[in-house]
Amino acid sequence: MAKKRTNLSLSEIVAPLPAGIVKNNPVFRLVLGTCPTLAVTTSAINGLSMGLATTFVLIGANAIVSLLRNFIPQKVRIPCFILVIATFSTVVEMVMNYALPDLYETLGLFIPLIVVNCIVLARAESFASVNPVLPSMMDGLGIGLGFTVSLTFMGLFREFLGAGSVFGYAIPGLQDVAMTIFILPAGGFLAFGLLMVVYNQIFDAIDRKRAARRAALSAKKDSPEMQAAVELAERADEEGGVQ
Amino acid sequence: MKLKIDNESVRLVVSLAVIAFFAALVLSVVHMFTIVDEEARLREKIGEVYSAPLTDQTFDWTGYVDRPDTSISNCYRAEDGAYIMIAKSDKAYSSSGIELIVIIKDDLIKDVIKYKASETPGIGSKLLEDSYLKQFTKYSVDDFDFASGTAGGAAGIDVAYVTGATRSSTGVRYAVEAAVKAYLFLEGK
Repeated sequence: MAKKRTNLSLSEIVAPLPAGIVKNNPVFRLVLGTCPTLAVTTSAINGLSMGLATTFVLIGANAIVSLLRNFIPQKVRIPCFILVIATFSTVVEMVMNYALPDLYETLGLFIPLIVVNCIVLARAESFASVNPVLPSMMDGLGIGLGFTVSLTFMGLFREFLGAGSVFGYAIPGLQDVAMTIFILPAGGFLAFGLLMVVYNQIFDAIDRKRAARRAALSAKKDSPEMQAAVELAERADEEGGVQ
Repeated sequence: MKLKIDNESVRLVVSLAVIAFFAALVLSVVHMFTIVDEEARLREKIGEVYSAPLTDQTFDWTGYVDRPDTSISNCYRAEDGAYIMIAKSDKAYSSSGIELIVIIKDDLIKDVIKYKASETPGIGSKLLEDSYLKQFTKYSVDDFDFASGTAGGAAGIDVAYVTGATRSSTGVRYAVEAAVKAYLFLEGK
């Protein structure tokens, strides 16, 4: 018997990408990876760098885990996933130390700690281990971009309010009134809570509007006038054209 | 108790071993292309901040004693007679400490530059800016009175600390003092 080959459409491959940025945003929706989120976002550039490093690890780890999903036995899947994730994390560390020593120094211990970032392991376990390679890579990219955007935004917020600068560029006059607490750990929690509230309020409102629009459309579809119109159209099709 | 070796056990071990092998292979290859020559990097950094070429002079540190939380990790002599020291202090925000390049020539502190440090942006990072480190360049080595000093540092110098970064400010001061002490030791003073 010939092997059935399932070809994925482009939309099926790309579908996980937008979900990772908004609907399944790992920082503000799923509340994963909170440790680097709070520790590293003392400036926008730190947040952006950490996010990009994690995105690379996510894409690579998801790809390899998906590739090996039929080879790795269930009983040892977690140690195998950790091994794969640790490899990519070490690659990032080596490359950063070689090419970007200042940034490597700033991010410090949080680069090797990407291994134990629950976002990476969670996506490997819940998505990559049960989906083909390309959608898994897209999921890694989407979640990674969501993480990067969230960290960058949080870093920007804290840096602007706490240090009076944006991406390291001081804003004249603002440094004198900067609220230092936002760069400190307590301020990290404050900023995290505030941004999470704002994020969820905005996207919950968008979801409610969409749901209301969908409900209105389906109500129209079920109305007697609509049903009569649909029946007329079906009869016309059967009789082979308009009389 | 007899050890049960079946297909599943073999598969478990083989899969782990194969993944570990390929991980080691990938890391070895990446390592080949990302080897960091710390000495070369340091010399390059020194070249950026001090124009005189470095000699290959070595130093005898026998008998040199400093604070337990500071050290001189490297010392060079330039052709014009200046001492370029990499002074490290463990008193810092990050566990890797603060490393400064301290240039001393003719008993004067010529320059103090950040080499390696990781501080909180907007707080401790102010310590690593030129505007802060330059305050040490108004002193000569004779201004550092180690004999009258306390655990808080040498007497005779007045250095502003950064609010919210007292520990790191102390670390910077100690690193500079370590470089001065090392200079006095090497010059036999």
